[in-house]
Amino acid sequence: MPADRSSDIEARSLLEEILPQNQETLQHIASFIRLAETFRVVFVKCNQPVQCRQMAARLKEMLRGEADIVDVHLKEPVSSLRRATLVSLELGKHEAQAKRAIQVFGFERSIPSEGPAPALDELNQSRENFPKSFSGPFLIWLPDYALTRLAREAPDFWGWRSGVFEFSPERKLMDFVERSIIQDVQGDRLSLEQKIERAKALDGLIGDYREMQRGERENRAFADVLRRQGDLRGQLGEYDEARCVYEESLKISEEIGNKNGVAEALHKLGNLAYLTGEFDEARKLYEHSLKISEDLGDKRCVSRSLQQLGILAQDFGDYDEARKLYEQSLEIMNELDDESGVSGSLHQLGMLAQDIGDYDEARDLYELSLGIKEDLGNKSGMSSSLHQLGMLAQYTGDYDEARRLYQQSMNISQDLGDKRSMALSLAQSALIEVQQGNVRAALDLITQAEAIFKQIDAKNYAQRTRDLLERVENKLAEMGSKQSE
Amino acid sequence: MNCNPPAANLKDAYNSVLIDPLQSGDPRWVDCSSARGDTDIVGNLAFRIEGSGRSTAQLISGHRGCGKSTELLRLVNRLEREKFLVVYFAADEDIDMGDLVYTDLLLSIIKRLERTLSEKGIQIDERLSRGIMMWFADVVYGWTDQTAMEATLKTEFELGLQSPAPLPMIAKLLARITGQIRTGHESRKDIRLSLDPQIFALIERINEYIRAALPEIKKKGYRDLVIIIDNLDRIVLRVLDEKTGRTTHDALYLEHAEQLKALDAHMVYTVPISMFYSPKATQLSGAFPNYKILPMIKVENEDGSPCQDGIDLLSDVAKKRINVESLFESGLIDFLAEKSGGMLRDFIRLLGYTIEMAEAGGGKIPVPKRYAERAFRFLINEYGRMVPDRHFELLAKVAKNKKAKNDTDHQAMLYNLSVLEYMNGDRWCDVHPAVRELAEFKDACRQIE
Repeated sequence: MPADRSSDIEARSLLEEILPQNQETLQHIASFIRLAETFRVVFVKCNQPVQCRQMAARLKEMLRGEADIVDVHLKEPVSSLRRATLVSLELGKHEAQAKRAIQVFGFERSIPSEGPAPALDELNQSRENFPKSFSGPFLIWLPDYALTRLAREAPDFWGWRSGVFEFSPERKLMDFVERSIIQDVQGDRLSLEQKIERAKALDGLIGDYREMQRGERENRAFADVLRRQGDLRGQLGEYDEARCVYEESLKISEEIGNKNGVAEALHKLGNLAYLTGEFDEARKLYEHSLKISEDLGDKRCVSRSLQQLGILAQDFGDYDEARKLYEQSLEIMNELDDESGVSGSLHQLGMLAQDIGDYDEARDLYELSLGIKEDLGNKSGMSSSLHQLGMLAQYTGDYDEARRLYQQSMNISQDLGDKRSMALSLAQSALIEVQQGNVRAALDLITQAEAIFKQIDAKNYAQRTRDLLERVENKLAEMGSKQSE
Repeated sequence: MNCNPPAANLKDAYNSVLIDPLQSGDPRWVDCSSARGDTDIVGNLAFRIEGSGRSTAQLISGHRGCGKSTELLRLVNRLEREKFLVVYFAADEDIDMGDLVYTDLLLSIIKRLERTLSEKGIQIDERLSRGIMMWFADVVYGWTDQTAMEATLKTEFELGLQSPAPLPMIAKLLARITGQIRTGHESRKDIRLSLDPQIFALIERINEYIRAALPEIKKKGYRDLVIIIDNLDRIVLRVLDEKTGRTTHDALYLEHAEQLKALDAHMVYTVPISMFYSPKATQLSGAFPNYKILPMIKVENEDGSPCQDGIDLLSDVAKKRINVESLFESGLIDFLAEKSGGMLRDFIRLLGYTIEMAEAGGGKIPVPKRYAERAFRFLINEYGRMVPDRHFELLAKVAKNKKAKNDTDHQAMLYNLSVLEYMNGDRWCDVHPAVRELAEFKDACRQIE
């Protein structure tokens, strides 16, 4: 996490002073480590990764020369906390010192907020094995939600705890995390790994907000954080999680009467509905959002909703309606001098031209749009322009050019962790292979695409790829029987 | 075993309060039976075993952390003094408690039995032992050739960790089978599929083994054989059939009650306390008339007044470990005893928290009572985390009626210790003192008034 480390240093200077109750908690943990001479397990509740790192660093400072504290960072979900810790210690080759405390971070990666958590079942039964593997204080750091799940679902392990220490949210730190994360989430220039890290930090922030007493200002900020998290989850293809946080954001905005927030959340939910193939639901949500934005006179949002409604109209073959909506949207974007919006509208008009069969017009529009996106550094936009240009090349029989463009598009999608776009390019590439009679290569590509669509629950695409897969398989079977004849 | 004098400084005091069960004969053990409703559980269980010529099957149950393992270890000790050969083991060391079927338990029993016999130098008829071994080999793995099997087992065991003493072939075979079951090895399913239809034959093989061993056991001067299975109550509660509400607990203790009783030895099984509060409680006590539930130590009477007898006993528990007079302000221990709800583990935990906080606050001796009050606040927060919102209304009713219904919600509340069971003549229940301090609980109480 190199990006986070530099921000940590900055955050530390912000946090010269920590809350008195957190200072007290630190002292309490230090006295626990000083006193304990045998294996004892305790939990430390701390929502944010940044806060965890800072508190852990202070703790080490306090115990310098008195106790050796070894950190274990679990970077991925594990099936057994004990075994994963042992493996990590082995890798680190930590020599046993006079007194050693072990603290484990990241076990929450094995505890989803919903759904089965086999790591907790395993933990519940393995308490007896811990003292055989570890001989001193053992601290498990977890965010609030994960600790609650552990207490309820691993009661036998929880029953052996020798303490639960809780850090309160630090307002200053929350503000800092919020600012630094939200800035870069917007641009969609992040790699997959960065997105996963950001999503984790936002989870921490959401945990902090849930815990604190919130006035209107805090609720407004909270709704915004939830929406950002929804965007990230959506980009990662985790649509169910995205929907949950958007809905919570919507609820909060409604409660505090923040109409902008309501319109925004409705629009985002509309996008999700569209992506998962629920078109009627998507139209309703966009229209609702549009209505509110019009009342508020928020042109940018109006234009955005118009564009999405245009996409829906186009999908249903209503090309005149679609063109009308896109042109309205483009006009507003031009008026606002919003280049990113303009590039989006141009792209959509390109899609329309493509659907109608006017490929030259479509190519011009995509290239215009691509140029603007390159200037803006909008990678995900670039990826979709390249994909569309690939389709045009494919339609006109220039298969090598098409392959090259799809590959370029896929490279970007992969960096961004945008599974849906990757699967789309894979599916298109498969079609080229079908057209050229490379049935086996086609089968391979289409199978990959279908698996991704299924994984991200994009129903309409999954169905389409399944149909294609079937066709390819039939073709293969036909060829097989011909050969055997 | 701890024979040290009671700790006289905070650090020693802290390290003398551990949550682990005491080994039998530990001088820190305190007889709490008078405050558990005058039930000498160990005495009762032992009496049945000592007084019966035939094999017996008894159940013991109790809250997590109420001192069950400590009491069972005392039972082992008493029976050993009375010249019984005791096989004691914790089920979860052998079996995957998240996915336990009855045959796993039987396999674990014969493996442990074999190990104990061989440790005690008790040998049984070679031919019979081989017959039983080959029965397992055939049923489980389809192996019929003893020489080939021995070769396979030998290489497997010699490639793996060296066992301290060369294991007899039957031990290697049983270790292989139980090991594959324990670790969720993919062959677990196959093993179960082959053993399931053979369940009566399996019991018969084990009984043959026991019957062959008994004369040898008696030759060594033992009166009889007792098998005690601890931690079996940790079997994960899961609904197996949504329609009938059949659970993993029902499958083991009710549907296999006859098999649990069919072994030719004195058996003691641990049972989850929540089973005695399930709709099937009558069925269970019908199948096992001899069951004992270890209640909490009574620190409060049913009318809410403090029960000094129980408080004094917990105070003795502390005094065996810590020089209470010199380290703590007076009244501190009584306060913690009351707030623990009579649950030993929470009492020990509260003592630990108090010492930690006193140390963090400068380590002044005697420790002022306010640290005990803060320790209790910590416990309250921890219970707040455990109790789901939908339980509060039910908890308020339990506090009012001092009774827990036989349904799944109340089972869950007993399981997570938000409801505790006491005894004086009758059984009665109350809400844990830490839960009683939660705002949600207080609201719920006002609602039902």
